[in-house]
Amino acid sequence: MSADDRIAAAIAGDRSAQAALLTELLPRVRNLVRYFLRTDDIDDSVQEGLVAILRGLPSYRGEGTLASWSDRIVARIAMEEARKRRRALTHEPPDEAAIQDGGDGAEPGDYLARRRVVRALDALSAELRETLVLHHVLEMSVQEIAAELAIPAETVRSRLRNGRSYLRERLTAGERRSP
Amino acid sequence: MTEDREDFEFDVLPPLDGRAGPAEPAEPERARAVVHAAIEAASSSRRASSRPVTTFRRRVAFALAAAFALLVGAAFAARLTRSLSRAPAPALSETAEPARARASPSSAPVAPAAEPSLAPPVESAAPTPVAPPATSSQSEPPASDLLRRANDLRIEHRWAEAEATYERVIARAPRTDESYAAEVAAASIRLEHLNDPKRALLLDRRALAEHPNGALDEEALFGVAEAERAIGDARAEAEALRELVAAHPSSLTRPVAERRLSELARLRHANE
Repeated sequence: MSADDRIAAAIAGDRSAQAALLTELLPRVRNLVRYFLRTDDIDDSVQEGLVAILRGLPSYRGEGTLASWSDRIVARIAMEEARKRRRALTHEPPDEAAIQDGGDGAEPGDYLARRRVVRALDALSAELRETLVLHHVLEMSVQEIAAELAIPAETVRSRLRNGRSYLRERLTAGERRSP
Repeated sequence: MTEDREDFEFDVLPPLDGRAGPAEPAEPERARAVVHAAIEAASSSRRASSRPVTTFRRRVAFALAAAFALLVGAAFAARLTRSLSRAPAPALSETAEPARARASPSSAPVAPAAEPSLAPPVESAAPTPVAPPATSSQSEPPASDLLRRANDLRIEHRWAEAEATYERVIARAPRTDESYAAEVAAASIRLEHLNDPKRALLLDRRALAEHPNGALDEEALFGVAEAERAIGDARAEAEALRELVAAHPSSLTRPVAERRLSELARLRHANE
């Protein structure tokens, strides 16, 4: 079954096709959700993202990859969840312990590096974080982010500059603290 | 856009790809459960035209229950097919005097029939010894994991191991959705493959008592009737069949149950 056939079957309600599709997307969805949320407890949002993908599948027109199309959907779900969580908390202090914990030598290569980065992201403000993730992880342009977040392009650029600077600072500080 | 492109070159935060991280890896079983639950939720939300409101954990529980129902349902269908194609009933005679009634859904579980009151049962054989249910333990995996393992064993036709694992689920998480499915599934195996209708009867009755009008009510009621038939208690079997017909008048089991009730009635009149 080709990718297009599988998508068509999934849209038609073929559960095995839906399962195959979601299983393939799942690691990507999980990683993207984690980039947006300051917690490893991401199952609810991952679930919402997968449901949204399935529900939105009939609207996928094949422009760009399915993964990229899904990314946008999941990003919106995750950002909304992050906002909900922020509203539920009056103050969300940076997780210094988590940042320092990024040097767990038991985790290999890329995974370790990404865990360190995401823990540094956890210490950033929500605005800087989501702008950095949209731009660098999802490769959205400044204009696209401005449209997505309904903010001026210059604000996006400012957030990117500050976010990158702050993230480097956090990572460097974390490395200094690591044994 | 050149300025935008330059911004992408931030080496500490690479574009999303297929590599591991930053999310913690999901265990395969967990991943399957999430995917299955998402499909169920999407299907439900389509039917209801609204966004699902249950939490992930509830959805997973629902998805697991749905999977168990399918599994039990498949076994049930096979059992039903066998009943439909079964040779004429053996010469059972139904006792005239009032016999023990089947436990009402709200009553406590009852013991299986102590004494076979009628002629030799269908497919009678000595009960196959099976390990007693394990007791709950801190080191035991979660009931949902055990249930999945039991289902896998059942699919592989490793009946005794599957049944023993279902029993562990029941001991681990009594009176839960997991134990409900495990009771009905274990009863089916006890009856169909381990020649232990008494334990099957106990399990089905417990499932009915603990989950009145539950999703597996029909399967459990049919199981009670089949177990009573195997034990040889025609009167109790008829009681269960009548309840099944009354509770599920449009089900596939109705013709089977009604045919068997007719047979039992003829046999009873013949013995009077």
